[in-house]
Amino acid sequence: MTELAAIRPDDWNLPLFLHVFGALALIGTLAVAIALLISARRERSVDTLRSALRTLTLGVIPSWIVLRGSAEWIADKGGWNEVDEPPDWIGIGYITTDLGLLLIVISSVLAWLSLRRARTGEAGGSTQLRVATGLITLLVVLNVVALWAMTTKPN
Amino acid sequence: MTGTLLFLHLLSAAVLVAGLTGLSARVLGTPVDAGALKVFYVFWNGGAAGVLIFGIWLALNIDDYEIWDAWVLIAIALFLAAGGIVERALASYRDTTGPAPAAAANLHWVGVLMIVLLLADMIWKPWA
Repeated sequence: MTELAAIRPDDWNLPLFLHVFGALALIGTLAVAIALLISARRERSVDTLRSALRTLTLGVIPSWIVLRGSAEWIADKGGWNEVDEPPDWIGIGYITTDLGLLLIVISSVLAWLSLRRARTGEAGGSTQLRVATGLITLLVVLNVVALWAMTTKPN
Repeated sequence: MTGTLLFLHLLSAAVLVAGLTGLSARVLGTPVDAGALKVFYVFWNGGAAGVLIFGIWLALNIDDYEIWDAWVLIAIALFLAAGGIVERALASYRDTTGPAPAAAANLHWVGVLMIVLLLADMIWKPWA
């Protein structure tokens, strides 16, 4: 990794900056989404739930786009897309980000359904928020695993 | 060893940014409750300590880098300045509700900008 960093071509800097920025922003916005989802469930607050949904759609999803787009840019520059069997750490990164989008979309839909119920005064929605919080927490754990793979590069 | 140190350095950075994002949400007026705000504050401080410790350890561990390299000194200066600025801004909205006062919010965003510049410094490594 160190040697790679030392010999990394200069034109990799911008995509790498965007990749790390996107990853950090994703973790940050996911943390805020978790805090708001927990708070919304405990306090049964429509405002907090609306903020959680806004964080997911306006914070988490754009961060994911920056992370995934820059990953593709780096892979293209490094020629990884043309390799038949890319290294494990690249596979782990792709699985995490692609599965991550699915988890984000499911969580957002669950939060939206819960918000719709709360607006109309219907009971329930707590389980949906619990599941959404669990999925987002799982995504944070997966991102830490991906970070470990990217930095230590096993195999 | 270097890979593990880099992982711990970036994990600390992620924790720091999680804390900073939580504080930013509060600055924007998002209803972050007092308990969550305390957790984000712990993240901000704990992440900062990890970034500094593992960052310096990394610089000492890698032969090509020295602690007195310009980009390392720039990073430490930006890190300390950002820390002071964010803390100063936090003092004026920590015990209030609703969005932070305009002056504190401006100060907070200057701190956030410094963290982004710090990341850019880490990637481009000027004068390395």
